Amino acid sequence: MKHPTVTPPSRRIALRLACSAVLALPLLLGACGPRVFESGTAKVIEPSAPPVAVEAPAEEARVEVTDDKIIIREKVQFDFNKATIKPESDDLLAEVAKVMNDNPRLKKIRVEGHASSEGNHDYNVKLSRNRAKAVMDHLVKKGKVDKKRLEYDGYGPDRPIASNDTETGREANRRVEFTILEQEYTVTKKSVDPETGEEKVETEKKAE
Amino acid sequence: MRIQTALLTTLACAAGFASSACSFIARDTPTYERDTSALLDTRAGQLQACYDDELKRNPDMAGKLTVTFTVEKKSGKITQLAWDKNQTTVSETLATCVITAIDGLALAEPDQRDGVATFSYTFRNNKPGV
Repeated sequence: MKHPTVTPPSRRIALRLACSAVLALPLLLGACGPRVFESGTAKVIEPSAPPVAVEAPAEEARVEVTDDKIIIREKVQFDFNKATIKPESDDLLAEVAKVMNDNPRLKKIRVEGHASSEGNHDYNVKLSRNRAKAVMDHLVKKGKVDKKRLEYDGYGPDRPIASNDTETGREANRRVEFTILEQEYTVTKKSVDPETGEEKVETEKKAE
Repeated sequence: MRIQTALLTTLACAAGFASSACSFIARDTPTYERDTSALLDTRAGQLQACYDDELKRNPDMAGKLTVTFTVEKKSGKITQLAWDKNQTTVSETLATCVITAIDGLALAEPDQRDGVATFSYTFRNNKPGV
């Protein structure tokens, strides 16, 4: 007679451990399985905005008429220690002449020569005067400006616009200026006729 | 006795292996998606540049692009990056540009698990009627 098989205690323990391992291992490893996700909302990509066109700043005019002056934003160039105008200033003076001719209301303009404080005072006054005359002659001969509208004078270092302590300042003081001495202007008067109620506009030309 | 020891050892090793794999940050799925989405957003400028370039070639280009990738566990790197042709309507050049832009990204804090991700992009050029 065969006795039923009896599993010895040590073997039963071993079998239980094996089963535990088989069950536990997937659980342990499965706890670190991948996360799977799909975004429900699409990310929107739009083109970048076109650059806003920036208007280039209006260039300042090289020659400009103000209330009492014709301003030049460039220097009239002369040969060193002389009243000879350099050719590179021809364009500038042509522009000055054009402005004068385009503005006949400017009845009288003074061309003024100025100098820095370097050197002899009287010499500088004389040189600046000669330079002012040279500019005036240039405007008349080449720019066809009526000579009757122009006069000239030199002030040497007596009317500085910057400090003579620095070369920058001295350079600024060496200059030619155009001062409006007399100009025409129009006075506009508006009135209302008390009888008709009509507005009346009257203009009157004056000079000063 | 020897069998018991062997099995105990096996169990201990498995537990040790599993626990070492679980020593990184453990995100739930929504968090993993959110963090991955934020990672992709760091390249938004480059994707816009891709689109700008594409529009120079093809001013009417608009459509959808779907990308798939795996965020590698422990390193956080985006791997197996590809675009899904079946769910994509933009040009191949644009898709390739996007893939190149995204390539190389990695989560600063890697997760203990891989993240298998799918994300979509809509390229919209704001032209009426397109």
